[in-house]
Amino acid sequence: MNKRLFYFTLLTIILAFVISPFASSFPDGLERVAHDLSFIEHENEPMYSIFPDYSIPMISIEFFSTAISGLIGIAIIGLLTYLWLHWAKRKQYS
Amino acid sequence: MHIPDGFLSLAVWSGTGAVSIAAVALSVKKAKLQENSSQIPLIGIVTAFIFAAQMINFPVAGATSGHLAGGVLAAILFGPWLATLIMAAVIMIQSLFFQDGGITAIGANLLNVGVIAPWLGYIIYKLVENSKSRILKSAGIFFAAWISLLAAAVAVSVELYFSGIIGLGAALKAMVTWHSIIGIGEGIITVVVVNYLLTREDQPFLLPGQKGGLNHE
Repeated sequence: MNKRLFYFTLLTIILAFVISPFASSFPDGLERVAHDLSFIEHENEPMYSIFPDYSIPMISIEFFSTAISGLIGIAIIGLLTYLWLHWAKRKQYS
Repeated sequence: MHIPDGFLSLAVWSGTGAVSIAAVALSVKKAKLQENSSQIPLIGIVTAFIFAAQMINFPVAGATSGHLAGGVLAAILFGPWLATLIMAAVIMIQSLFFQDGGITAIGANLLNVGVIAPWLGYIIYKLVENSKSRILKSAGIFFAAWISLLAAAVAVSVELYFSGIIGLGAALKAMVTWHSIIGIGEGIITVVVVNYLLTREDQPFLLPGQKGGLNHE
């Protein structure tokens, strides 16, 4: 693997697993505007929740709850990438 | 800038949903997915980076926070068709698994940050792509990322207005003001990552039309 790409991948994992629990909890731009212009009450609860707001309900330590959520997200993307690669290779040789 | 469930009217979320489905279908066709198989791992890594970077909210002006959206970054690295697909994957994973962004709002969110932003950013990037001056090129990339985030903020305002949530003027003023600051982060991150991945001798990427960039296995 290219060295530059290796460090980039490492950075991605560090962002998701180590840095994400330290992210700012200020409302984002749209939420800020929704509060200021008071239309935030229109927001509906999600129809269901699996890992609501990057947390894992079973894990009570907030740091790990967020960090492992980050890893799960990356794992889902990794799986999709693998499936796509698999599909593309089969198409090439058929 | 993820719109939650409840902000958009039925007409707006289904309309933007239809546009986004068409955009994704066209992108699948144009991106020539199976011909890009040597790039698939790179695309996966950049998609994971965008997902991870979107988790990292940085505080802005003590009142709000922002994070990378990433559509322009994806468009510069892989072109706008693949950028839409990358953003579709990120937005759907965020909404379906992490309840970040409404399920009914997936179409609008994808249109704003996965279609409008990458296409606008890509067109601006094309103007400076062949510039010999690295400073000019970086400035162009910064501007492309910054203005694209503003365009997405404008699109959100218009969608809120047509949903009958808020007046257009008030929405535009508030959205554009905050996102003109948040967009500085978008610009800086996009410039740094593009320079890291693209402008060195051992670059891991091969851009369309570029020779000899890939890949030191």
